[in-house]
This record gives sequence, structure tokens and C-alpha cells, in this order.
Amino acid sequence: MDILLVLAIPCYMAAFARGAPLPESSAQVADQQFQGVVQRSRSLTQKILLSIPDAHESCVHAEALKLDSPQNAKLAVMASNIGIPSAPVLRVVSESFSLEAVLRNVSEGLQLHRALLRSVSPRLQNKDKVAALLADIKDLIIQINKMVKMANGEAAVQPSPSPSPVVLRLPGEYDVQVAAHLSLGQLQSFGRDVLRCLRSLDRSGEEEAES
Amino acid sequence: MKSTPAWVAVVVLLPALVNGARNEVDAQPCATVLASGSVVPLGSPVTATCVIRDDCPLVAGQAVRIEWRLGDRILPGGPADAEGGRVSRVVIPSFNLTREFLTCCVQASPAQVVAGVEIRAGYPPEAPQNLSCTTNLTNPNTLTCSWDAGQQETHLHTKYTLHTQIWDSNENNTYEPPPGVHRYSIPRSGFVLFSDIRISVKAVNELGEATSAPLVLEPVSAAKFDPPTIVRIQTKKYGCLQLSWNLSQQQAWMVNWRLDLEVRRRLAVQAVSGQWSEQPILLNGVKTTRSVDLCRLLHGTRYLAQIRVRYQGGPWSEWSSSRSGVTLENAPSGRLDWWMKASWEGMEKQLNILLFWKPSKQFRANGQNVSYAVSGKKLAGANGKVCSTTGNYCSFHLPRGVKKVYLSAVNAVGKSSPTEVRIHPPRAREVVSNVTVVPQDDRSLLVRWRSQLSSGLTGFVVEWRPLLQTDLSFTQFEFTAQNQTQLLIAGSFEPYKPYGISVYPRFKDGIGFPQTVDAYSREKAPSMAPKIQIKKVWKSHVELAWDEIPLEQRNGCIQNYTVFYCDPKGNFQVVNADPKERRVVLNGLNSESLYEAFLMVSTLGGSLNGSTVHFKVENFDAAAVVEIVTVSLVGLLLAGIIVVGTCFSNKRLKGHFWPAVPDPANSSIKRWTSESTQDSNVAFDNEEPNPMYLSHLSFLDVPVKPRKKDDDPWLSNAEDTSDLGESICGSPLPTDYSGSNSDSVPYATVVFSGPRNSTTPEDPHVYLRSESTQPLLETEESFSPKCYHNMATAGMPSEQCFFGPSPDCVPETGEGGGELWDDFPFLRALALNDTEND
Repeated sequence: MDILLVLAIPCYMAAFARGAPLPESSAQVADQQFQGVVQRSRSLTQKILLSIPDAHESCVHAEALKLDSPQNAKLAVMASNIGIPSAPVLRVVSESFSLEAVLRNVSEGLQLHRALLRSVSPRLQNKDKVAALLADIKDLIIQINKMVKMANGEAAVQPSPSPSPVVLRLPGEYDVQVAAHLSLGQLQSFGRDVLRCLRSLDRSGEEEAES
Repeated sequence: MKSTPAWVAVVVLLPALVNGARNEVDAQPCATVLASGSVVPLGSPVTATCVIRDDCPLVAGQAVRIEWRLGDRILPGGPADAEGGRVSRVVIPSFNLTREFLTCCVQASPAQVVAGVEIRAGYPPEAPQNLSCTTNLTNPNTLTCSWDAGQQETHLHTKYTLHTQIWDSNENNTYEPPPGVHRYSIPRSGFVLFSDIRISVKAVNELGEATSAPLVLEPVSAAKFDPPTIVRIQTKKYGCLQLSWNLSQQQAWMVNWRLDLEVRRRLAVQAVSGQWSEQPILLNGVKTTRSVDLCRLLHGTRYLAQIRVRYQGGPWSEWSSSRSGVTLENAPSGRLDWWMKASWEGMEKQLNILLFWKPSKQFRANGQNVSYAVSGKKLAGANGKVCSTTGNYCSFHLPRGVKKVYLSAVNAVGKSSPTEVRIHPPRAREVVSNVTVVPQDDRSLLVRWRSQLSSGLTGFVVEWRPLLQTDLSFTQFEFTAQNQTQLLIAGSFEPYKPYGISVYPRFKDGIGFPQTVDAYSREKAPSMAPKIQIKKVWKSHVELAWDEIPLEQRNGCIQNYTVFYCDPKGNFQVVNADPKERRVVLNGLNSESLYEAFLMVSTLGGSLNGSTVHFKVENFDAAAVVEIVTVSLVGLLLAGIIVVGTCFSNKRLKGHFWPAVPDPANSSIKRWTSESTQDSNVAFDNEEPNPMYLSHLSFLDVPVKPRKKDDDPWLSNAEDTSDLGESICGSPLPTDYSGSNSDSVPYATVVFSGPRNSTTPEDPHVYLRSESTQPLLETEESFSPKCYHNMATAGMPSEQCFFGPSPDCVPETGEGGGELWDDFPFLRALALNDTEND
């Protein structure tokens, strides 16, 4: 997939998810227990987004590789060469896309990025903050899966399709740096979409500042 | 642990040595020891069996006697079993050693150790106690658990492992801390922040294992947050401060979580004390996105605030750094406590007033900048302001008759209701005595006093101020009740600094005289010792004096001045001086010696020696010479006077040198009443053995009727009054008369109250006696009877004063003059004659 498309998705999703109405039929969302999980998920997503810059700074030493830099568009070919898959597209909950489907996409995307970082982590010199980030992603996945379970009525939980194994081609150190950079950048974009998605599920009505 | 004996090496090496004689293929030990257990509970029985091989060279073809040893101690062995006594069994009923070697020996010459085994003893582990875990949300995130190993020492190596089980992820992990460490930090990958985790600790040793009670927690609930930050403090409501706050950057992702928050505050003016006196205020379920209102605060007051947070009963974070804010101002409220000293000025036309005040417990300044105004009128804004100040006292004059003034606190918003100050003139009543001050600690002094019962006494005022500060604003005061005779005054008493403490009696109508003492909260030796000055030097003594120590260098109440002095032989002498006099006289000094002396000045906190001075007393004492000469001259003068007096007192000599001329001033007239006559006769008989010879005797008739001023017999019957000149001119005395007082000639006049011929004894007559030293009344012989100035034996009535002044008798003026004339009838007669002549 074209890396440009991957990087453009968050912008698309931001506009899409902000005004997305939640179907009134989704009474499950209003459940107090569900809302508790939403709160935890939001916090964990915030934590991930706050940790990404530190993790990037700790493991990516190439000065040209900056988060949120317009120069990142030039790395589409490198992304393809390394074998970094794009994140799943998040859509707003609607009649076409059920709550469960949206949450499954979130879970799937998180697992994808977890796999990416786990693949590149052994090649990094300083991997502590990436390891902490992986733990946070794992925690968020657990919370998202709880929501999936609740959204599904806990009756017949569809086993989430195991993500296709990630095999990165990292012949040299530069490839490792680019892989870490692109993985963290893509996770940052995806995390922002997740945050917007979760905010749309939050019924607490509280306003909060964007991260 | 007991050290391994040296012979243990023998045990280890012996089988090899014994078997060394054999070939290498058949390298088996000569004997084996089988114990019931190599690790046993401490105090439990241990059974061991020693089996010696038949082919052991030590026992080949001969009877064997086996001996057991536990360490160095020989154990009573059991009977040898069959098989030729090559098997022995021993039972240790209670193995009380933590570690020891049990050996099997063969009695040979010498005895040989053939096998051994180590036996260790201890206890199984206790279950770990007090397992607790805290999540650290500062990077790197960890979950740190700690526990107590248990009270009993196991004596065996005990391994602890931490077991976790995460419900949501179905993960089970085991962590092993280093030996002896009873805590472990689980890495971030080992726990899920929002998933319950079951944690337990297992202790394992060779005698058993035990597991702690499991701890189930949500790691985020056990998180100890970083200290939060108070972003800003705003004031929007009266009596409230609004705090905006947030978590640390690494914990900002908890922004939407409801946390417990505690706020503590204190007045900014109390920041120096370093203690937060206010009870923390707990606020539950607070989000960082919302600010916190802190209310019920004083108006116009600067506060310092700190906050701390926790999540769901977890541990509290540390307190945030302080941030200050000022509440909105309001007009001052409450009254002021005041204390006034008054003194008269200008013939009591006006009063000098020194008025002190302090906030009462109910007083609230309600503003940052508060001043105080004293006014003669109660209504706000009225004229009559006496003084205005930002301090705590005011000095002013008031005309006599002013009964009260009004004291108010003023800030930018308004003015407090006035406090009435009643003006009382000073009262000269002294009630307080024996004021003593005892330091309790560095910050308080206990003032005690005695008071006399006095009407109108309503209490006391204890006033204190630092004596080294001239500013009266440092003056503080406290009131006490009437029945109270001690007060603990607290404040910032500096050690080694003097404080003047006064106790004033308070009456209903004013303040009485105070008693004042100096006091120190702590004393030490003075900072300087005064220099000795040699004031006077005599032949054998010297006077030393010194100046007073400046107050700021005393460091305590001067208890004693001690002078140490010594002669060249090293004979030390010590003299104490009165602290108030600051001088001392050293006596008994040797004029040939050079003395040295120094002064030691002492307080209750220590002593300080001054510099040494040298002195020598004078060989020639000018003062002594002057004294001797003076005494000698006085002695000589006295001797001369005595000689001259003796010479001139000789009558013969006196007669040769000048004739005796009568002196009217030395003449006298004496009156005797009948009673006094008797008395006089007694005295005459006793004290004057010589008879009195009168030169002339005349008789006067006095009317019987009462004496009145208008018809005084001495005035109306002047013709009855004998002429003085006639009376004093009489016949000469006999030639053989010799009186003791030869300078005067006695006369007597008898005054009758009735007719002269009457013999009625009830009418006492008055016997007037006179004498004169006039030479015309004397014979050629020098003669004068004794002078009778006063016949009374004790005291002299004023009406009996004759002939001029006497130290004991001063004539009274006015009406008393008539009586005086009564006593001098002759003079009265003369005065009447003079009147008639006029």
C-alpha cells in the first residue's frame, strides 16, 4: 500500500470521526461498565501518544527522521521495501459499521503496530522506552478487546482474526531506523484516530484538550 | 554458622587414602554413613548407620569397634549389629545444631575416621507477611512489591519468588529477587495498568515452603503519583481561593480520571514557622480539568497552599510545591486588645498616654495593609483624630478630663468598629512584689510575682520588651486575672539578649506601680570583662574599681565579680565584690611585693576572666601620716585646753586676776509651790547639804478670787506688788556663809493667795526665789548660791520658764504671753509702772 495513503488516513479519519453520530440503538455504549473501559482506553491512548515522542527520540538517531515532518512523504518507497503494512482504516460507527467492527479495527491496528515495534525492537540500541510503549499498546488492546466483548453481548465472541505475521526486511541500520521511525509515526497517527473514536464513544460529556 | 573443623578434611581424604592401597578399579569407600536426613528440623531426632565394608583393610580379619562423633564430641554408640560388628547405628534424640558433621570412626591404633555426613538443621519458612505493592508511574513504570520474611530464623537458605497472575491476559509470571532481598520491582511488561493482578510471594527452603496471602490489585490504583502542580490561584469570591492544578507531564494521561485531592493551607505570615497548622481538606473525585475552590478563608489574607493526589485509595503523592494567593479584602472586624500607660504632665493639666494594642482572637484585619487610628470621637469620619499609625502603639497627650478615646483598624476597604479605650490617670498603688522570671525553653519565660490584697484590683498586665531595642513597637503585653500570679510568656526570645519584664497591677480606676526585672531566656558568659582600675593605694591595702559591662555584652545577669590576686610567692587570694558597687578593697598587702590581679565576671551561663593588672602598695603612706599628725595635733590641743581650764578654774587665781561682776542674765527667780517645796526639800536634803541663805525676804498678798484676764491680780493690785528694787536690796548674808555657787546671791519672795496673816493651810502660798550674781548684792567674799533655773525633776511646764530662753523651754507667743507675765510678777509690776509713767 502506498505509504502516502497510509499517512493521509488520519487526516481523513479526523474529519470523519469528529462529527460521527452514535446510533441510538447502541445502548451498550451507555453502559457504565462500558464507559469505564472507554475511560481507561482513552487514558491509555493518551499515554501512548505522550510516549511516542520520547520513544522516537530514544531509538531514532537519524536527524532527518522527525515525527510529523513533511519529509516523511519521501519515505513511501522505503516503507514498501521494508515491508511495513498500513494500519486499518477506522470508520465511524454507523449502521454500516457496527461498534464491534470499529473496535475490531482498532484492536487489529494496535496489534499490527505492536507487531511492527516488536519486530524492530531487537535491532534497536536503546529499547527501554519502546518496550514500555509495547506494554502500553498491550494494555490498550486488552481494554479494546473488553469493549469488543461487551459490544458483542459476551454471548458469542467472534475470535478476532489473528493478524498476519509481520516480516520486516531490515538489512542495515538505516533500514532499522526508518522502520522504527515509520512504525512510530504510523502508530501516532493511528493513535489519534483511536482517540477520536473513543471520544465519540465517551458519554461522560466532558470536554478535554486535544493531546 | 559453625566453622568446619580441620579434621573434616581428614574425613574427606581418608577414603581416598584407604582406598589408595587398592587398585583404581575397585575404588570404593571403606565405609558409608547413612543418615535419616541430611537436613532436619532443628531439635528433631537423627538416626545414622555406619556400614563398614568387609574388605576394608582396617577391619580385615579382626573385631571392629565403631565410634560415632558429632563434631568433636563422641556420641554414645549403639550396640554393634551382627555381621561382625561392622554395622553401627546411632540415634541423636534432638539435633540442636544448625550444621554439623557426623562421623563414623574405627577404634584402631590410632583411631581412624572411615565415613562422615553433614547434617543441617533449621526450620521451614514462614509465610511472607505484609505484602504490599506500589506502582511507579514515572518512567520507567514499575510495580514494586515488598514483604516481610517472617519472625523466625530458618537457619537454612530460603528462596523467595514473586508470582503474578493477570486475569485479563492470562499471564503468569514468576520473579526471583536476589538472595536476602525482600522486594522486587516488576517491569512494565509484567503488569497491565487497568487489569487486576494477583500477586503472591512463596518462600521455599529444604524443609518446606510457604506462600503469602495473595494480593489482588489494579496497578493503577496502587500508583503513587508524582507531586502535582498548582498552576495558578485566582480570587473570584469573598473568602475563597480557586486553585488550578495538573499532574506531572508523565502522568498527564490521567487527565480525565477522578482523583482524590487534599489541600492544605497556611497563612503566608506563618511560613517562617515551617508547619502547616491547618487540617488538610479532602476533595474526592476531582479532575485536573476542573479547578478547586478553597473557601472559608480570611479576607485580604495571603495564603500558601499545597496539594497532593491519589487514585482510589492508593498511596498519596508527595505534597506539591507551595503557591500563594491573596483573598479579596474586606473591612477589618473584631476588637483590639489594648494596654495603656498614663503619666501626668504640666501640673496635672494633661496626661501623657502610651497606648499599645494587639489583635484579639476575634480580630480580623481582612486586608494586607492595615493601619490603626486613635480618635477622640466614636463616629467614623468625625474629627478628633488623635493619632494614626501602622505600628502597634501610639503616644499622645490628652487634656485632663478626657475619659475615653476610640481605637480602630483601617484598611483599603473600610474601618473596623471602634474599640473603646478608657483613660485612667496613674494610681500610686504598689501591689506587685517579688517578680521572678524562670526560662522554660528558648521561646518561653515563666513570670511569677506576688501580690497584696488590694481593693479594686482587677488583674495584672505583664509587659515585656527587648532591652537592646529602643523601638517601642517590640513591646508586648498580656493580661492576667486577679487571682493569677504567674504567666508563661512565649515569643521569639533571643538567647543571651536582655528583656525587661514588668508586672503592673490593674485596678478598676487605673494602673498601679509596676515591678520590673531583667531576664534572659538563656545565659552565657559575658562577651567582655571590665578592666580593673586602681583607684587608691595605701600602705597595706588598695582599692580596685571597674566599669559596668555594656548591656549588649553581658549575655546574662551579672551574678558576681570575683577578684583574684596573688603575690610573687604565688599566694592566691579571692575576693568577691558586690555586683552593684563594682569596687573592692584588698587588705593586708605587703608593701614590698608586686601583686597581680584579675577580675572574673560571672553570669548563670558562665564566667569570663579579664586581663591581669599589676600593682604595688606604697611604702610611705601620705594618708597615714596626715592621720597621725592630725591626731597628734588634736591631742596636744586638748591637753592644752585641759591645762588652761584647770588653771582658770582655780578660784584663787580667778580672784587675783579679775573681780566678780554680777550678771543679770545669770540671775534667776524660782517659784515653789507647797508640793514642790517638799520635793525641793527632799532634793535639797539629798543633793544640797548646804543650807540656802536668802539675802532678802518679802511678802506679797494675792486676792482669793479666781484669776481672770480682766482682773488679773498682777494688773489690778499693782500696789500689792513689792517693788523689785526694794526686794532685791536686803541685808547682807552672814560672813560665815559659804555656798557652792558663790557667783550668785539668792533672794526669795513668798506670794500668798490669801491675806498675809492668814494661816489657812488650804491656801498654798507661792515661794518665789531669785538670785543674782550682781556684785553689789554680794559680800566681799566671793559668794553665790546655786542657780535654780529649774526645780522640776522631770520636764518643765511652760509656765515655769524663767529668765530667758532655755533649750527645753521656748515661750509661746499669743495668749501664752499672759501666763508668762504671771510667772514674772516683778517684771509685770515694772511693766505696769512703765505704763503709768507713760
